[in-house]
Amino acid sequence: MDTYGKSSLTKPRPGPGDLLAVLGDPTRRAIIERLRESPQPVVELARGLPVSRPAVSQHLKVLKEVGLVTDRAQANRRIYSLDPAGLAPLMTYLDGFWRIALANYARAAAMSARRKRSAKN
Amino acid sequence: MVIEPVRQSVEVELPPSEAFDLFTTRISEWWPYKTHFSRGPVESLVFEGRLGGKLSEVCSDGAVVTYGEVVAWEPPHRVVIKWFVRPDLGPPTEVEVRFTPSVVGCRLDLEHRGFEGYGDEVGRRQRDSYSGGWSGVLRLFAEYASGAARP
Repeated sequence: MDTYGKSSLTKPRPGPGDLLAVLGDPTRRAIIERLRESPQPVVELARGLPVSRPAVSQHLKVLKEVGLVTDRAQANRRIYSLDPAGLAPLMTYLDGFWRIALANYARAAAMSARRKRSAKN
Repeated sequence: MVIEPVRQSVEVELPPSEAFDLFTTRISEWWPYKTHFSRGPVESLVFEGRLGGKLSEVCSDGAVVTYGEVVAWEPPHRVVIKWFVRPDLGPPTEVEVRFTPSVVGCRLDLEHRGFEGYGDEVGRRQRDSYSGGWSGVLRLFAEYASGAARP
């Protein structure tokens, strides 16, 4: 299993460097922060930002390419939202796959131990 | 050239037999497959608990990607998995997990080794991605600082 980066089977997945480069732009970070509050269409996103609507669309396209943002059609417009899995390559880079996996494992073990205790009582 | 293996440990409140099962055949309960996968979105993981058993991802589109094979199966003490990091780049690595009784329940020691087969640079990068890539982060930072960053 490849914990980040290019997979030989599908189109290259973004690596941590791609994500850092994309997030280096303050407007893109502002878009991400707005999308964290709620999914929204371009018009609404552009309203609170000091750049034009076409510029916001361009930034969204870049964010979508690296998997940080997804979109779906609703009526006659597109709604953009964050893709929580998109940050995984960067998180792995900072934290390491095994640290993330073993933290999950410890949580599952604690749940398992709790279940056993409550079954006994 | 030796690339230092990844070594990590965790202690859990379960007896070794249960900690062993949770790590192996019950892997779907905790493996971060929603964010970490080799090919595309994953439905579940399958860990065949026996010598020669396979560790595979079952993808949402039905495809099965195998990235591990059990080469030592000694429940509840030890399991060794041949780990296919990137078959296109080099030979498989090896993940060994030991389970030892402890005061609270069980101590798990994991060692992921054998990155040398990838060559120095790719091997270190792969190792870093599994271990908490602080040296990788510093290298990335150095690349950016030297103007290698893309716009």
